[in-house]
Amino acid sequence: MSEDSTPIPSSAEANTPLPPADIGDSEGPRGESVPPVIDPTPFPAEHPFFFHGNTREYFRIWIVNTLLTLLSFGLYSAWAKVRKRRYLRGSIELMQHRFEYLADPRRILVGNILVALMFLAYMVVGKVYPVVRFGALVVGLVLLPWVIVRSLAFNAHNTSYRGMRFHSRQTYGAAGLTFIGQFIFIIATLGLYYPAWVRNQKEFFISGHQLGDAFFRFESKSGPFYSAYLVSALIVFVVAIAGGSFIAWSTFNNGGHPPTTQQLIPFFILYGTGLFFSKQYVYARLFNHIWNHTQLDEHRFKATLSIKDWLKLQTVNLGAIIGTGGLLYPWAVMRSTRYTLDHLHFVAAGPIDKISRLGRRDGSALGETAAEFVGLDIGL
Amino acid sequence: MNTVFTGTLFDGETLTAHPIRFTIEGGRLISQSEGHELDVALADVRPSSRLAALPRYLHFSDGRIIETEESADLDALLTGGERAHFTALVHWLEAQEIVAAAGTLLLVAMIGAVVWWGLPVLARRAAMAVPDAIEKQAGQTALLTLNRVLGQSRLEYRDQYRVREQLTKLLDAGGLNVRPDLVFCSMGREFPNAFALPGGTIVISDELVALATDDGELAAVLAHEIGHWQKRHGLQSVLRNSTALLVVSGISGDLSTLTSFAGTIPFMLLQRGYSREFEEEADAYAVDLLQKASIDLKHFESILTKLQNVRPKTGQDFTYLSTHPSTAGRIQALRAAQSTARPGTKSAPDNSEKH
Repeated sequence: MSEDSTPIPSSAEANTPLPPADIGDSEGPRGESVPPVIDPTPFPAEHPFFFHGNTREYFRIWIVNTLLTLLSFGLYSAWAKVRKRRYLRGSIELMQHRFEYLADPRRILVGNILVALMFLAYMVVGKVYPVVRFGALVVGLVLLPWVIVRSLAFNAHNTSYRGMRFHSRQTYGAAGLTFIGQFIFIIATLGLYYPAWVRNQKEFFISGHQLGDAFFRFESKSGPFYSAYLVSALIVFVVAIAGGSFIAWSTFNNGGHPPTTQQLIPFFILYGTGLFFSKQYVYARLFNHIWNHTQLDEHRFKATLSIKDWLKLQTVNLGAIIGTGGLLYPWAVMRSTRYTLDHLHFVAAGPIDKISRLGRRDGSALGETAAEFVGLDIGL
Repeated sequence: MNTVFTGTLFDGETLTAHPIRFTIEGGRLISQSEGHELDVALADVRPSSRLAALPRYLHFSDGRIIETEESADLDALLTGGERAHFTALVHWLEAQEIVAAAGTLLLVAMIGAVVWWGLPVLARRAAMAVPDAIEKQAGQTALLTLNRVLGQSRLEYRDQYRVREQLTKLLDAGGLNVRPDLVFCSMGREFPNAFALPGGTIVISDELVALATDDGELAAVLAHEIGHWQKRHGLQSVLRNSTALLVVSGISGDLSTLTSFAGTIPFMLLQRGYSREFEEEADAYAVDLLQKASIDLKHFESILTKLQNVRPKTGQDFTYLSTHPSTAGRIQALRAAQSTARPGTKSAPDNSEKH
């Protein structure tokens, strides 16, 4: 599945792997001290996102749900996922109101079981008729657009703000073109098309979303994506050169013998750090670019993430997660999310009250029909 | 008991927020707020379940929603939705510091148990399930790496013949119909050593052959290595290490590190050798095989003693004995095996000769 950890602004939750803020001084919701905003505010009005997440609170939720998942041999995982996500989305406040995550865990369980059954079928059939494994690749390719579109729709449909659900209305054709057609093109261009592909993915995700009758739009050229990936490639290149020289140097010191694993440890650290920084660099840079080029009808967003601070934050997160064998993961999520939301603003071009239920204006019953019978929810 | 709640009403039609005050009495939710009068049976209200201190949402069947911060007070009045008892329990658990503390300990203990007991079992099963061809390939890769460090063998032909002869003898006795490849090499620095690689390659150093002046000793060394090969210890070590890596990668979410590590596995094997547990298993296998081949276990004992004596004083690379069980312990285990052996085995003629 083609996915990376670059932001998908479609969901309000910052679902970053290693997100921002401190454990000690992070308590105290800042939203409460803000005086109620009374119209008339001059437009465009800049509204911050507040994050009410509390590390201790989230840690308790995380540990209880993780354990229940383990003790139920995974059956509870759908419920755990919903609770954690409800907490994350429900902790985000914009213009005095929170986001709500509404997914029914039973639907996610159905989706999980479906995926498990397909995998099982693949294993069993593949064992009896090994040729089928190649056939499975074809089936997987056919299913991919369906999985992507359904996941987006499920996720959007189950996120609401002020009692209004989000929608994702992408088509299977567009998904197939973006994730299969363009992927083939990347191979044909020896990877040169990759940054443009990332851009097109973002457009696919964002521009398919709506809140009521308001449309999300992502408009950007590919240039900024190319320059972000160019820097990231340079980082990897420099690391590769340094790593190669290190191996050559230690081989020379060993009198022609290749270095031993212990001697290679600095190399692994260097290599891992390089990859990590290049990945986080791209994330931070594209985060700003993507949000700054995203619109909800005439309303805009403003992202001011500092690349330097983001790299510092993620370095500490990574160290904490590795150092505690993953126990500080919830802390890292809280920090990242808080930092991200502290640097994101919604710029209202006019009163947002005008946003209505889809189909309300023309009197049709369109809108809340987004079918969700299978809770597919892959981490796009 | 007529608590007045404050909240916000959304009509589901627009994003407009309407401040609202409401009460819950007699099983009905009632609001007198101007323009938003409500009188709904609680049974028709679907409340969101409690989660930390998040606002609660009261979903009405007509699509309207009330958002309210007064979650705790509301709880006493709501009859609760479906599966209310279970979510209430989860919420209670999530609110307890002591549960979080105990849960953390439990999680650490569970992960520890999986790593210490679960992974080796999984690694063994997986190693045994690996097809022979792939096992062979893994062995070839390991051998390629080894070859870069190993010196050219200067072993005389008759010594090579001695080794082959003992190998054949053991294979016949054990009823093994696959013959391992023998690779002779020099380790330099007077290092007696032998390795078993996946797929049935036994690497034996000139120094070790020289040390094993007695054919029985040579057979003991070979039997031990056959044990490693037959029990697929090479693959098991690789799998154990990569599983540990897999756990780390799973937590950090970065699988690319895994591939970077996979290439260094031969080095790991070379440096640390097999784990103590594998050595004991190989010893037990060797004892069994030697008895089948009617070779006295005293040869095993003597080669162990010899190895112990030439063992470098300082810990260096390629230390054959570094991860092995203590020689004293191994010899003790051997004696125990000897005493339980059938008398016939014990008195069997020792047909090994000294060269």
